[in-house]
Amino acid sequence: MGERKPEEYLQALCRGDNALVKEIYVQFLPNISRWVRKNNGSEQDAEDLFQEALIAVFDRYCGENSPEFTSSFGALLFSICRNIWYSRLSEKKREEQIRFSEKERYESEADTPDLLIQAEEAVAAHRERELLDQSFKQLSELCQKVLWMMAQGKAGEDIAKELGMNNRSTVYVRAHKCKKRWRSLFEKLR
Amino acid sequence: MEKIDKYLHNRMSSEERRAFEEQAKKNPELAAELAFAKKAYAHLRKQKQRQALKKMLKETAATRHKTKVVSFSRRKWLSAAASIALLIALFFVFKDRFLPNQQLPSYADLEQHTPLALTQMGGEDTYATQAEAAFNKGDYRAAGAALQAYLQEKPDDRLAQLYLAISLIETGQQEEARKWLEPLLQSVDFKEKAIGYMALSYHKEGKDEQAEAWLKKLQ
Repeated sequence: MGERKPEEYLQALCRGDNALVKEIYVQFLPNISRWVRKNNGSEQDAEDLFQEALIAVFDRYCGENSPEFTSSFGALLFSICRNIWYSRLSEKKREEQIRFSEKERYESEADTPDLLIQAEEAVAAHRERELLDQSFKQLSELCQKVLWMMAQGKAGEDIAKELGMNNRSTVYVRAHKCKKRWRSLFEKLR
Repeated sequence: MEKIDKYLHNRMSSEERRAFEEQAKKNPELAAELAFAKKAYAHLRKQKQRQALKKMLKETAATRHKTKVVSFSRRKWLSAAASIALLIALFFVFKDRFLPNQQLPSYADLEQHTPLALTQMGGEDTYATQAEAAFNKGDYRAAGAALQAYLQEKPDDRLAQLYLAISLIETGQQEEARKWLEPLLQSVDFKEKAIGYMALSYHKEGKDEQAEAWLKKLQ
């Protein structure tokens, strides 16, 4: 099975195409898994890392106003995995255990400045989304519902009716307070 | 602040947008609030698809493990995965785009529909989830039917009314679409959107003069 065009993999990920996502595993996981195992990790670590990297690609490239995807899919995944794995190891103060001499497919490609930046941006987008998620879950159920409906563009009057609130201004006042609280929880986690 | 929401959902006239952007330039706190709201809302709009992807990746990993262990039933697992694929491939992503600032939207902009989300948690097979899945993969005929059924239960849901109108526009039923858009012109929250789609419906009929007249109301 040859490699497809990068945008085909990206679109599969963006729209949740299970068959093609399986192909991504077959195509790219073995190389990353080999690299992780050579760098003090297990097969399971590699799989977890791979999943996280795929979500990071989704977070960076499958949203509103996302940048254009220009890299090789495999090289970007590799670069993201390496980025996350290094920071995880350094958290555990095991960075000295990484064998930098081990060269793998994609590794020289993954070292280009553009790709390093793209990988960093994807990891940052992923981290931000995780923190948004965590802080959102700390909000009250009512706050979560109001904000979710506002985000989808529901009308203030309809939100009021659905949630048993007085009128659209009550909804907007509540949404404003909830958003403020969400922002402060998010900032605290950063 | 209501203005932020109006701004983010394109419910401001060009003049209001300009004034609001000026205000944000001068007020760093407002700018920060706007920046947060923008990313927070974008996050919430993608939340369902993101959770679905996480779930799918977990299942893919689990399936891979089982395939490795029980190699003789590889075919069985592949066909199971194919059925899972059918069930899960409900989530299609359309590039969300905010209309360009300070100018009239083009018809191409108007055809970039924001994905529909009527329910917070997916899963249950309701008219709402059927409508979301169909609309977001561009099956406007099925979306229209599901939205009609949904509106029988919730006749006042303006978001559903708007998306029914869009589905009708996309399936060539312009007059019927305009009947649904008409009342939305009176809604503070939906006025701008309804005007845009009024224009699009006339454009689709080749009545560009009328379409332009509607577009000008956005100024």
